[in-house]
Parts: sequence; C-alpha cells; structure tokens
Amino acid sequence: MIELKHVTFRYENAPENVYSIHNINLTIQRGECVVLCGRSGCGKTTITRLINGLIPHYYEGELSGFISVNGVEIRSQQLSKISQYVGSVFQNPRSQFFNVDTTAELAFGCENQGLPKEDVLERIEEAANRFSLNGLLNRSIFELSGGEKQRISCASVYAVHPDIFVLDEPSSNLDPASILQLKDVLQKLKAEGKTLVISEHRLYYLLDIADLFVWLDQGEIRSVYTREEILAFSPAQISAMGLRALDLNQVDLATESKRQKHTGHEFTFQNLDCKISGHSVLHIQSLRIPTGEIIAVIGHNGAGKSTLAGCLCGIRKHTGKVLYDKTEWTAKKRLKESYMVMQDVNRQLFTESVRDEVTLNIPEEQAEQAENILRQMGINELADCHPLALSGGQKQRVAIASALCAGKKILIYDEPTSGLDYESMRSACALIREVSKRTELSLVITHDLEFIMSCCTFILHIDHGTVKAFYPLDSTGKARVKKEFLSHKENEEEL
Amino acid sequence: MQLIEAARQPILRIDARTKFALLFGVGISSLMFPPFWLEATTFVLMALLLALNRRVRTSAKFTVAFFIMLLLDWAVSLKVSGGFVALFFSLVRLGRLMLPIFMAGILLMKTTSVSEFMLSFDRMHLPNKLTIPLSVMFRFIPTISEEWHSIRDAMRFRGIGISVHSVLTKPMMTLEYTMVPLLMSTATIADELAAASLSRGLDTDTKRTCIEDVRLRSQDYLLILFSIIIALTGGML
Repeated sequence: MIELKHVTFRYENAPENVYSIHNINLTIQRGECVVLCGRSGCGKTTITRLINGLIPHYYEGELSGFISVNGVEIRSQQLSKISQYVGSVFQNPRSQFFNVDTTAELAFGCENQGLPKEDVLERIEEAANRFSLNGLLNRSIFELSGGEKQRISCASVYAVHPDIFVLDEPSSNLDPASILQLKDVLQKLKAEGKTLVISEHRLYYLLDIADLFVWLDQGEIRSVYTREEILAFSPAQISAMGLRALDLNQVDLATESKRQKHTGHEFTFQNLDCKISGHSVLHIQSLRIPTGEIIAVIGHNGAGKSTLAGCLCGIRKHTGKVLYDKTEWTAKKRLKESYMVMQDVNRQLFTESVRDEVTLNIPEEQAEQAENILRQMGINELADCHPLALSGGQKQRVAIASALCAGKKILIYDEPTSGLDYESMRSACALIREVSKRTELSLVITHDLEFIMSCCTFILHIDHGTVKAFYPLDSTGKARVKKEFLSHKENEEEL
Repeated sequence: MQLIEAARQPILRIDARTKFALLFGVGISSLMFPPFWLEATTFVLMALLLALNRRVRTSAKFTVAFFIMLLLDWAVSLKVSGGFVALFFSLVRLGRLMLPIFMAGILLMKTTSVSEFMLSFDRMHLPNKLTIPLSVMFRFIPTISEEWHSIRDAMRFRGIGISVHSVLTKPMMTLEYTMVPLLMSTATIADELAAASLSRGLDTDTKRTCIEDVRLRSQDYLLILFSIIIALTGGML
C-alpha cells in the first residue's frame, strides 16, 4: 500500500514558493492500477519520484508531509532497499539502460541485490518467457526499437520481483503498435496482482487497465475519476483538461479541409536507394511530392522514416536522384536548402543568445529580417536570452526561426509532439502550419494521430524501407489513416 | 538456460582487470616507440584477443589498416627522401602505433558488461564512491558518440559543419559550437541515467553478484604479466 499525506515538495533549484506539488493526499491499495494524469508540469512525474524514492534521495528539495510505501516511511529507507519492492520505468529509452546488451540489462537489478548467479539466470528466463522476449536476448540495446526497449526495461524491473511498478510517461517515445505491446505487458503485471502507478497524458491504452484516474493541475489533485466517469467526458472536455484523446476513433474527423494552396511545384524522388552496412534500408522507385504541403511521414519504428528524411536533406549518402520540378538538386544543394528540427532540440542550439542563434552564419542582408522573424515567431522579447535557458517549446521556436532566417526551403520535423500534452501539441500544430506557408515543403515524422489530424495535409506511409502509400488527407484519406493506426493490433498478431 | 548462455560466450574469456592492464601496458609501451618486432607482436596479440571475443570484423578492419600503413611506410621510404618525407614518415608511424591502443580500448569497452566491470572493481577492494562514477562514465562513452553524430549533423544544417578547413581557420569557434550542445544534451542524459541506475539499486551495500564468472584465470595472469613487461621495457629495447 502506498500512502501520501499532506505532501508538498519544491525542487532545490525552483524559485521560492514555486511548489511542484502541494498538499497531496493519495492512498493506493495493493494491486490497484492508478493513472496520474494532467498537463506537462502538473506534478505527475514528481509524485512518481516520491514513490520510488528518487525524491528525496536523488532529487533534493524542500519536502514536507508523510509518504509511506508498504508501511515504511520513504525518507528513512535507502534507495537500494526501496528498489527491491518498487520498480521504475522511465520515459526516455535512451537514458534508462545501463548495459550494452539486453541479457546483462535484465540481470542488472538482480545482480545489484546480490542474488546468486543461478537465481539471476532463472529470473531472466522467467521474465523473458513472461514477456515473450526470447528473440530479444543477447542483443545490443542500440539495435532495438523504442517499443522493444520499453519491453526490456519492464522485464528487467520485473526480474527483481517488486510489488509496485512506477512508470513515468512510458508511451512518450512509442509508435502505436509498441503502445499496444506495452499495454499487453501492463495487463500481465496487473493480472499478477502488482500495484501499478502510471504517469501519463495519453490515456487511451490504459482504459482497460486502470482502476482510478487522478487528475492533477498545478501541483494539486483536482479530482479522482473511475473508468466509467472518465469515459463519460466528451472529447472537448478531455482536451480542456490537457489530456490526449481517450479513443483514437473519436479523433475529430470533421475539421475543415486544410489543403494548402498549391504552388504548382513538386519534388520528385527517382530510384532512391540507401544502404546501411550493405543492407538496403530504403528504396523508393518513384515518388512525387507537391510543394506547399505538410507531409506526415508515418510507419513503424525502424521502417525507414528517418532514413528518408536524412536522404532528402542531404546528410545521408544514397544513390538515385531528387528533382525540384525538372532540375536535379544534388545532396549538397539540398543540405543548403533544408533544416531538420530534431527531437532533442538541445543538440542544435550553438550560441549565447537567441539573436546570435538565428543570425548564425548567414549573410548580412538576410540577417536584417531576423527581428521580423523573431516577432512573427513570438520570441522577439527573448532575443537576448540564452537559448538553453528557454522552455522546450521556446527552444523549438528558436530552432525554427533560425531555419527561416537562413531561408531554408525544406523543413523536417522529427517527432515534434512526442511527450506533449494537448495544448502544447496544438500550439506546435499552429506553429508548423504557419511556418509551412513560408517554405516549400514540410515533412513531419510522427506517431501522433491527433497531431496528424489537426495539422497535416498529406500522408506518406513508409513500410519496410519502401513507400507503402502516399495520399492526401481529405475525408477518405482521414478514414484511411485512422484505419492504419487502429489496425495495428492485427498486424502485430500476424508478426 | 542454454538460451542465455549460447551466443554471448567469448572463446577466450578475459577479466575486466586484465583488459585494464592491457590498455595501460599497450598504451605506455606504444608511446615509448617500441622496436618493430614488439609493436608487431602487440598488434597481433590484440587482433587475436578481439577476434576471440567475437569482434572478428573489428579485428579484421584494424589488420587491414595496419598493413596499409606498413605498406605506405615502406613505399615512401624507398622512393623519396628529405625533410618533408621524414615528417610524413613519422606521422604514419605515430598513427600505426596508436592502433593497438584503440584496440585495447575497444576490447575493454565493447566486450565487458557493466556488472563485470563493477564486480572487478569490488574484487580490487575499491570503494563504491569510486566504482559508481567510473561505471557511469563507462556506460556513458557510447552515448557521447551517439550525441556527437547528431550534433555534427545539426551543425551541417547551419553551414558550420566540422571540416579540416573549419578546424584550421577557426578552431575556437568550432570547439564552442561542438561543446555547447554536447554538454547540454549529455548533462540531461547523465542526470536521467544516474536516476535510473540508482532506482535499480546501483548503490547497494550488499555484495553484488554477476551472471558472468568474474575471476582471474591463467590467461589473465599471462596477459597481465605481458602488460607489465611491455610497459616497463617498451622504451628501453
């Protein structure tokens, strides 16, 4: 049983009087599945950290109130002891693995507990059987897809045999098929009587599992809903709470057609082929993309979406041609004309102020319009700030502004909405649509159906390194893409 | 259990401590310009060890590189002479001497699991305060290389890509544009990584175990002895 009584917490580096959570009272019974939901920054992650002991043992700050897990006050317990009965799964697969190969990762928790070698091997086998991981053992972590990584991390926590599982936005980096696999794992855990605490704003995959939904806002628990109660809300009410759609079927079909006006130009791919260490990972016989559109690039993790983006913007070697109307654009030309907004924007901010950032390495006369662009992007007041001191959304704007200042014609976004709550997703939408009017082509790699429906105009479906389909997102297109997203379950079973 | 044991077993198991000894031994001896026969012996030994630890491709790549450099050395010394050639000559030689060091590094990094690594430290009676940061660092190197590749791509989009030209003409600027994003993105990852590993009991007081057999075998003693000898005598021969 987990008990939180009058818990208030402020992170060490947060300003005075800015509390991440305030007066939280929550009791979670053994075997229950509780979902903590709400907007980004509502305090849901903080609560998961209180339960797994990372607060106060790793993240320091001002903590008051009473927290007990399985009858033990968390503050008086060592982190390594807590890890025996509380297992944690985090959102970023890049930073939660401690080993290079999967078997060692599964063993890691048990080895830390000092279990004898034979027991550890037995538990690895048990966990592998439980979650059908036999094909994934002895593999390099770096080869796995996001969904596979998330399954490995659940299994490696499971191997320690904790009673409580704490998951912090586990679906953020997953494609729809992987989310369903995650759901399957969670269902098995629940059936075994494990207590599950999940922080998440994407609720659709949890509806069959969760007993209670705790809605947080500005660090406080506003209400607690049962499954029936939350299902009774209309889609608009759910959006107003900052949450993502409960049912992918409900995702609005009726929005007005957002076809951009044709500029009459087009990009053509001819016989494009890209190899990685001898294997062809992308082959496109012929593809014509009209300019002025916002293209959603969809497909499984590892289908070749990023490779396609890399080839288009000229950073990846390939054979074949890319034409703009009738003239060939060489890789060098495309690199000059394109820009990729990366998932981790921190990697692409180089200077000490926003103004320096957007005028970096561009000719004088272009630099003059920088102020204008900053104003249009709504970041002119931040011009003298350090880019790395901004929020995630602001950083994204700075990166895009720098691309506009440099007069880039092709903009590529790599999962711009992963991990965003409803409002942030909508503002990313508005931004991308606005920017698309000033560029020739916007390509968005995404797994986010809600985002696609409210922003994109074309669908490019990549599967096994080839173009499976390319169609406009009109009413038939919308029905088709929805079917694509909802039918993942069957595809999974075929595999 | 066969399932787990099968593919991962190296043909010749070497302990993490031995790999460390090799890295230091090979490093010191190579930097002291050993005679050719010792250099060649060291190289062959490292290539063999890599292959025996299921890194056959890496081993083959290094061997090819070694022979190309050897050939260059030989061809140039036959055909031409003079100050410029001497410079080129020593550059190639220096590059060749670095190869065994890289190989020892790869052997340590790529064929050792974190828990083998930590248990070896435990056996050496090093305190947790030292082993935990070291093992985090150990885990962190592949991450840095991953980040580095993305940042290099990001720089190319801005026309500030790293090239011989940019390094020579504006070294400080290139360094700044690389280090700022690298530090920022790795700081976040390091923080999350540390949290994740602590929540899995990394800083435990109980005695850790390991699914691999961590002990020094006869091959380990031989290799450690070899490392000590080449480190001590490399420069004198």
